[in-house]
Amino acid sequence: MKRLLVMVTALAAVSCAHPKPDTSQLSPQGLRDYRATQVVKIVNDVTTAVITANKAKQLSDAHAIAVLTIDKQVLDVIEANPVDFQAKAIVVFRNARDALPADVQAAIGVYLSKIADVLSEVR
Amino acid sequence: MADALFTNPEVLAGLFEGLLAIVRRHFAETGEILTNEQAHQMLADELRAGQSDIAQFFIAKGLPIPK
Repeated sequence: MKRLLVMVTALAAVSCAHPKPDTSQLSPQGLRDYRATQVVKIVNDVTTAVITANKAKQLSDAHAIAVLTIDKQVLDVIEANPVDFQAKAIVVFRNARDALPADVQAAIGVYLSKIADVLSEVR
Repeated sequence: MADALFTNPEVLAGLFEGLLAIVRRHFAETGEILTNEQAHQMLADELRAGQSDIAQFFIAKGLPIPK
């Protein structure tokens, strides 16, 4: 009896720890919103890192402005097109990046690469 | 578009695979079962926060917020 109770308790604990996700609650629109959220989170992380580095005098105003301008343009695309943002966001991002002088691109490359990576990873 | 999804089994299967991967990943990270309303709210909150941080940076520098 005690052994049975232990087994039932163990099984209950396992099922509580790993219940199956209810996929029926996520509509295609919800899925698209979640994908957009993933990109926006990364862009916002870059924004935070840039502002922090600029405050610590580790990143110049000019370079911070360059990154944050691109961040805003990507956010604007997603805000306007939460359903089909990826293709346009990639184009906007690449155009903005390529318009920058080579030395600026090199200086802020670590920030830009994070945005490039997440835009290419989202499915 | 809606008709194409339901007449092409491969497209539909791909859609469900992507959906399952997203939901499983979110569940693994947070333990939350994502609803449509939660996903929509998460996106709106993140966008609002991001735009606000960027705007405040430019305002603090006395610069116009970029278009």
